[in-house]
Amino acid sequence: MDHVMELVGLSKSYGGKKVVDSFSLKMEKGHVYGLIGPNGAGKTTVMKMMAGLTAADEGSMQFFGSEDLDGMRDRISFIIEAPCMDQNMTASQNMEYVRLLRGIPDKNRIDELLAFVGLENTGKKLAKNFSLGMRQRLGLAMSILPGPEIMVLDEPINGLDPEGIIDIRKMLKDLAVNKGMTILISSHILKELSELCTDYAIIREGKLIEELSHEELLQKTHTRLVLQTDDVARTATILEDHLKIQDYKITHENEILIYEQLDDLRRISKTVTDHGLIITHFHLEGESLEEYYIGKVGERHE
Amino acid sequence: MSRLMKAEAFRIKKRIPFLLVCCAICSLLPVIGASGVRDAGLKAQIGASGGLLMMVMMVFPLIFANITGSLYDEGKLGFYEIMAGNKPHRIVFSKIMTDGVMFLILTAVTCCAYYVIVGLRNGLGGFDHVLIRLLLVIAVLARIAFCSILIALCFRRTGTGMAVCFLRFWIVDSAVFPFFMWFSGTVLEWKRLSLHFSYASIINQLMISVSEPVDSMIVLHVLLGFLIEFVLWYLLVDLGIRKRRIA
Repeated sequence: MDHVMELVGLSKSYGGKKVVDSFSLKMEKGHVYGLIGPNGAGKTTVMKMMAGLTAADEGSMQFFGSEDLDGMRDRISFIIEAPCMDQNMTASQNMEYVRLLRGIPDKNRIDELLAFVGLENTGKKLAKNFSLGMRQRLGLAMSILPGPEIMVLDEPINGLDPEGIIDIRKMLKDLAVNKGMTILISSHILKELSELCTDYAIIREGKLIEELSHEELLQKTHTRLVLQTDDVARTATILEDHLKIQDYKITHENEILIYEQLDDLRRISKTVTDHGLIITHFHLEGESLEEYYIGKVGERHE
Repeated sequence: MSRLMKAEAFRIKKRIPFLLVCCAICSLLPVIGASGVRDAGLKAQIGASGGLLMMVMMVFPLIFANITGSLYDEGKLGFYEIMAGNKPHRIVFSKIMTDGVMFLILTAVTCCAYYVIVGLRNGLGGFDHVLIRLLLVIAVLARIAFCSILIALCFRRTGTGMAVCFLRFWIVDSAVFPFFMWFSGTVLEWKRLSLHFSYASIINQLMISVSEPVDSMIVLHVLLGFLIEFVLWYLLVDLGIRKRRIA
């Protein structure tokens, strides 16, 4: 297993109060980890320790198998609490600053990335005059510019409008899937995390209370696909013969409840329609990530 | 370190025009100051021009502190530098080697320009130890530049750094050292101690370097004073970083 980051027994106290307590996490290359917890759970403190902004009282960290954390941080980008930028510089100038700081030779990357995050037309506008969404986008661009292998993002979609959230989610998914980047992201918007993450780490009062993959989450939340077509019997045959789906049941309301292969809904839908059937009902149901999380930590996550 | 310096140089590039304007004003002030004594000889010209220049020199620390900014300021660029894998002491030294050297060169050139021109026009006259005097002036200006940067890096807000620079380079130099000088010389009648307080003031160090006889005491005070003050402020910066760890 290719672990790019290992956190072992990290603890941190402020004024006698333990805010992170023996937190351990191993991150595999190419996975997207959602760090979930209520306010004050220790998410940001864990990320600050990873970033070198605060020193752990106990525990150890390894990045890419090395304990030379400062040396390895060159391969990692962080956005902690709010993106860091010079308020009196434009988007391009901030990007140029990062390019020089990180020793990136290719100047063309700046324009490419500003276009990627939708900031290509900001011109001479200073960062201090940017909206929150624009600052988040610029922060993301500044994080992607060094070509990191890992990105650690603390609530990057907070304060964004719905379109902004979708855009950021698409960007991150593209980076994870197409560029093989490993991402650790914390957010209060669990619905977004459930669309993006491959793994989840639930933290409460500084302790890791559960770590699970997206597949495990689907199983634990009894998530199922509810499928209704114009020919239920033929649909069942197609599911078994062409998709090898065995874990399903037919209800008395002529609904087919499918419990497997839920990570590839397009394939299921395409296979059914390719055989001439008409889908009248197609949706996922079961406990959401938020409901599962509330069940775990016992409070609403706002 | 070179990447830090390149990035820092880029960051402050846009403040250079403002700094050049300040330096241009500095280079004109001695001309104005000495305009009334143009025919009174070299010593009188230098004496008359220096006062105004000294006052302006005390404003420069505030300008330097403002340009350098704080590690912890609103944009938290210092945080970014840490997260990019740079150790705090490297970040501090990169700012000294970039901002500090630039400040030193600009102020040394523009503040000394008038005197160089006067010297070239009139000859040195009775002016001795020219090279040593020049080095002493540069050492004092370096102390002002580098310590202003360190003071700025001690504090969370740029404004606080500027205020402390004002206290250090105006109040301490204009009031505290003179007070101790008077107290030790007149009240305690410890003349030697009073002399040391006199030499400890940056304003006096500049004046002595250009217009008074150069002796080992002034050289010692300039060099030791620079070293001690630099180390003290650096330790405070380091303490602030460790205590806050940028949080």
